[in-house]
Amino acid sequence: MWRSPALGGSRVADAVLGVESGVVGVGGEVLSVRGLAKRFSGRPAVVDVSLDLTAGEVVGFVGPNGAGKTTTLRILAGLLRADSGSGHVLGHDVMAAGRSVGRLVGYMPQRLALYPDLTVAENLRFRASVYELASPARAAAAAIEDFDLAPFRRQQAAKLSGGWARRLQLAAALIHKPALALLDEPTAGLDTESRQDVWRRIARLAAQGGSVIINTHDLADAEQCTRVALFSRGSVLALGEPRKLAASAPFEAALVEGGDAHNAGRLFDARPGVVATYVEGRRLRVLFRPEAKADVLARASAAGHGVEMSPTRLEDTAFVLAKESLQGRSA
Amino acid sequence: MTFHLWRCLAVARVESLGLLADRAALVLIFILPVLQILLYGYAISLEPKHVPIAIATSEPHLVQPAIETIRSNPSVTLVGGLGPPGSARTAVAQGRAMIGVEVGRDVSTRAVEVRIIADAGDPAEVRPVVAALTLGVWRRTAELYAEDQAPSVVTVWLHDPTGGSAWDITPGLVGAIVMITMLFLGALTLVRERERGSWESLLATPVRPAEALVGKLAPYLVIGVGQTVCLLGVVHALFGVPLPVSTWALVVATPLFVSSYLVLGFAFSALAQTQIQAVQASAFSYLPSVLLSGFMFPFDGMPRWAQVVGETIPLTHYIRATRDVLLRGLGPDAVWSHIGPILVFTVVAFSIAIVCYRRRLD
Repeated sequence: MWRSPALGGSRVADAVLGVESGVVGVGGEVLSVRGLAKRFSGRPAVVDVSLDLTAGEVVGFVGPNGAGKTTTLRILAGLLRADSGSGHVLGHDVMAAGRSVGRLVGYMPQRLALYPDLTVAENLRFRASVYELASPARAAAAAIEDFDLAPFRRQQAAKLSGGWARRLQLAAALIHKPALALLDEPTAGLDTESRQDVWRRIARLAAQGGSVIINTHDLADAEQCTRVALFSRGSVLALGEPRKLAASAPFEAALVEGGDAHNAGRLFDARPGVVATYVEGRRLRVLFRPEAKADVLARASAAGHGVEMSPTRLEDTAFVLAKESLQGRSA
Repeated sequence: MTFHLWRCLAVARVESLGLLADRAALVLIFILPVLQILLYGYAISLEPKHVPIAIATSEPHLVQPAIETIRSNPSVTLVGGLGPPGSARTAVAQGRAMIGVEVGRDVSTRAVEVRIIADAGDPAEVRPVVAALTLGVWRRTAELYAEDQAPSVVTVWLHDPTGGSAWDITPGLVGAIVMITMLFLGALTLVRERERGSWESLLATPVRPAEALVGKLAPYLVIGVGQTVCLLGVVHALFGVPLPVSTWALVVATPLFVSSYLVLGFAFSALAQTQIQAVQASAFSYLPSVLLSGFMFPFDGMPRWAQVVGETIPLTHYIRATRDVLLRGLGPDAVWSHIGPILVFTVVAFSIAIVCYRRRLD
């Protein structure tokens, strides 16, 4: 399931992708792309991304900043043309001019992209009009109702608070009931209640047969997805159900306690087999390859620390990927 | 609060870093003005060339020395040889000449009278020649000082009874002002949207480039036509410039003229990454329109290549149409004859704008 140079991992992810693409595609295949790559002024942004998606699925793109998540999303939305690759999005060739797919996809950019001088109702009405909905005014009214925006109906978008502006943007992206929603960090900067609200809507969209891809840094978000694609340096490193993905990480985790957690980290600096360490409250979380387990436990005990094994989590993986990404950049 | 130099310098530093980061804008700010100075330095001349002049008299010996001078002067071209009295005035009225010189004698005093008939429709061309002619006559008078009956010289401005500069400048100014406004409004449309982020979500919708272009510019088209009508009214009310019946043709042609510069501005907007780039590009393009259109400097005074460029500029044709209608009182045909070049420019600018409208973000 993993391929990571820093982890000395195999290229099992390719096999996983192959197997999963065999599963999907039997009816309700929403998209299937292979080997997408994109460079900006010679700098690789996306190196090798392959993905399949069936109707009703919610896939989370997780990975450090600059891992290629947003670029991939823009390629799928038809905003960018990949340099190479193949496949389709909702039956439209991913390498062809992306205009035709615009009608079928609901894209929500990371940056707030509303018309600030227009009211909430006018913003929604504009979106409904460009998607040629039968009655833009009615569609806007329905979206206002649906997203609880009624109190702000006549308020300028510029005067909405961050959370409400994001909600309006989500309403705008979904107003034409797209078969595929591509949402770039839809929960960024939202409070818990708003975040849950976004997820209720995503779940409802999926229940109605729509498919969703979201970019997120939030692992609580990722855990709510049907599947998660782990991005690192422009490639999908692993793809699968969040829980299985976390459990199948090619490393184990232990919690070291007692004394100063930060200082305890030095015990494991540059030890063979130790993948990463990070502080978690007053404890230190140590990630290591299975063959280094005895060494890690022995060193912690010898230094007088308490130590216990812990199940691996998605957060561990995200941390390792982020560290890898930083090392890759400084290398 | 006192003025704190270090705080001010910190703000200035941030502003400078922001400017330096926008390389394209820096190039536009420094390179373009140099190019413009070179371009216009060579193109523009205050001396008109080959202004058509007609001379009429019943006493050829009175004008023979003047004709020799005129033949050797590149500023003017003699049209139709020496005509009978009244023929020079007719030539100007019919547009065959821009200046007519009638040399005759006062009926009662028999003193020589030089009557210069000037076409006020193209002041940049005509004024320097009229001044030179007048001077020439006075010089000749000085030479003939001994004669007791010194000749008189009278200038008649054929399409401008006031002979004043407001009539020279205002009809052309209407087009120039509308052009500058439309260029900048067009240039800020897309780039503003790009900077505030709504561009990305607009691109993700099914809106096509031509739909975006026409949709975005349509409101400004209405503004442009409204502005033109308003300015024509002001020019008429304050300066007495006539608005003959055929002004309707000018108003009908105005949407096309307004579109030509809106679309050009839109093309800059689609090309530019920042507002400052869009504004610089617009400034770069409105100068040639003002300078090479014959609005401020004599069109025929420019070298051939500059005239060729000038002929492609919508403002050149709009100003000619405005002067023909308002000052010369010509009919709608004078406007229709200028539609073609403006249309060609608009179509070319439209095509460039569509190509530049980057459908995708890369």
